[in-house]
Amino acid sequence: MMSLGKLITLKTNDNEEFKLDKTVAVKLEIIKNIVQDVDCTSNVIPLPNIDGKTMTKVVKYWKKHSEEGVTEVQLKNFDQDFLKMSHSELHDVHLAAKYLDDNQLKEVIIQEFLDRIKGKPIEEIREVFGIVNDYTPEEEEEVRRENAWAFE
Amino acid sequence: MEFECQRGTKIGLEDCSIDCVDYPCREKVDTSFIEPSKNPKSFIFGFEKQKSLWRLDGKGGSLSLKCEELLAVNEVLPDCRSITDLPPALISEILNCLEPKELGVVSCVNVSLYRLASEHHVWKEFYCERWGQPILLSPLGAEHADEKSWKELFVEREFRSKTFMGRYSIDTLYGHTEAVRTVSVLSSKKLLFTSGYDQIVRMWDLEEGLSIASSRPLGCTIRAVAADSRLLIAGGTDGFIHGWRAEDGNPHLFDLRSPQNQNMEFRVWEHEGPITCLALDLNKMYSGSWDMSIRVWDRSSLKCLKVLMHNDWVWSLAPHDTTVASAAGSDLYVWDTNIGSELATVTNVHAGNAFSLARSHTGKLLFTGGEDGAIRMFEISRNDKFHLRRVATWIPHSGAVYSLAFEFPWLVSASSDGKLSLIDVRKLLRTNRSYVMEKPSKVDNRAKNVEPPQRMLHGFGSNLFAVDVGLDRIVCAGEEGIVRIWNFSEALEVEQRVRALRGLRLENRMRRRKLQSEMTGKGSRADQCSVAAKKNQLNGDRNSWRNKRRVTGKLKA
Repeated sequence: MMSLGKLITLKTNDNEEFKLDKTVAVKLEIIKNIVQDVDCTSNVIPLPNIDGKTMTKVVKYWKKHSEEGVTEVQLKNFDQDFLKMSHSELHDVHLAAKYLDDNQLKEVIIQEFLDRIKGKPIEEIREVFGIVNDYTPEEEEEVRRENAWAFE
Repeated sequence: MEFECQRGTKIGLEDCSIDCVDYPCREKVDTSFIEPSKNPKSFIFGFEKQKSLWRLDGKGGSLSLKCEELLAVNEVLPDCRSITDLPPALISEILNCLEPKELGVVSCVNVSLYRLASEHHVWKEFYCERWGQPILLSPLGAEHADEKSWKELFVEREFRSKTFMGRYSIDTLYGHTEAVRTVSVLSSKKLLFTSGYDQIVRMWDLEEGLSIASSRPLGCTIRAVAADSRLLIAGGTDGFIHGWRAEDGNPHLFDLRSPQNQNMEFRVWEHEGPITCLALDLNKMYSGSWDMSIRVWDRSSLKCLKVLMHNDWVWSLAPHDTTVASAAGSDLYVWDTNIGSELATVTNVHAGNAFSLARSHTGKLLFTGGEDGAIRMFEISRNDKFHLRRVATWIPHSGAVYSLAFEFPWLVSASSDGKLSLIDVRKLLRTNRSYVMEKPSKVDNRAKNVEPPQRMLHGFGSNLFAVDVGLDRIVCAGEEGIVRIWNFSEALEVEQRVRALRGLRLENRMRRRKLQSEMTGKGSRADQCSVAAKKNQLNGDRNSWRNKRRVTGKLKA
């Protein structure tokens, strides 16, 4: 584990508590700001917009990325594994990252979204993201014709 | 749940959650999967909560649906949320990083994504990055441009970039009595300016290919001409810049022959050697010379603001914003014009002199052409330090590359071997909009490879000295003193016809499919389709956007 530092407790909206080393926690911009404003080491910081499941992921990500002596290759492999989640989880983590003002995680997530969109036919995008096709056949034909250039 | 105790069960947790989200039908299998793992209670609770959510969704959204269909809905929606439920701002952020084509594909996915993707401000960026502000050709055109969205503008322009692969016709312009050293296209006014050893600047109508006017002999060879809608400048071997200011109300802007008003014409002397290259931007003029310097001028006061000293003859320059790129001797430079300092240098870009230079609208891409017949592409990156990265090399010519012109995505070169090469750079562009970090190894390999040009235009026996691009045309000229306009605008019409046919085929196919489904299917889905189709046929006034599309589609056909 890390060298002994102060622990910060984060509490999610379903009352899960996460104890984080301060050096890890301050990497999250919003927590850094809160910690700077008040000395929160004894108190609990509530995160009303994030549930425990999502927070577990975020914390996992940050633990790994602030480990000492971790190589880039390891991080890359970790990221790959980390991003193997369903789109709705990805979606939750994205919202959480946005809420936590965590640009690095947000970028990683956006990149993952992009990778899932890029180079895929329409049907596959719908499938991957669970999007319902709400075009009428006529409309769809119209839209496809309008965007025909994109399929060349 | 504390994070510390999470570690041991993490793997089990992940597996389960993925399984139960992706395969809702296999609930039983999943529960047996969970039991052996040492899960804390909270997780099982979470799982059950999710399950109940599905049911709720199924009931809430499908009162009239049959059981099988309910299952189908569940399969499409493994979870009750999808990407479209993200706040529009977040989706926008994702779309922001997509390439135009991908954005086009995404807009076909469903209605809300269509709206987000089509009205996205990023289309404007795409357009302006490639071609700058759109040219409004006539007052009538201006009205139309207001109605058009940036996406439409972009798609139209992108379509036009195909023309250089199509059929052409050639206009030949006679007039110059000696070799032509420089050509300059002013697309927005459909004008062409040429000059050379005969010391006369000539103005032509680019569309008609007719001579409009010519200046008196300026007293020495003119190796460079540059023009925009307010100013025309020519650089002489005696080291002066001769300029004409545009006259209000003159359809051809400049009165070359004998200006009524002496204030409309000027001449500035400061270079000590022949001027080889000129450029204009909003408030500055740039001139490069064999006296090894580039001078930056204020356009209105005609004062020289900065002198950028090189170690060799300056052959070509290309300004962008506060920087100017230059080719001098066999080296490539980038300068900061405010401070007058060198930002980056690449020495020995070519074996022999680097005669020509071209730059993209963003200023990020640089192309050099050399005495060795090679063309190289560089990308300017600007992290903490200014850096020039070589992206690609072409060797399409057996003689010196005297001139380059770039209009996205085409790089056109003119060489002393009498050929023009056309190079499409799109494949070489990094997807710099995305967040991916650069992979240097891959890029290095690419830099060593020599890329083939997409097209060569032959038919000249002699040296070509100058080339420019604009309005679906390529203009070139050289030793024989004849200016040629390669007109590709016909290719556009041909392509449009092909596209209209393709659209027709698609329509027919859809119609057949619809008929088929009406004949065979009595399922609820097919009924729904036909009802919707009928509704559309009866309904005269459709949604405005669809209506508009229809009209333009027919026009094209």
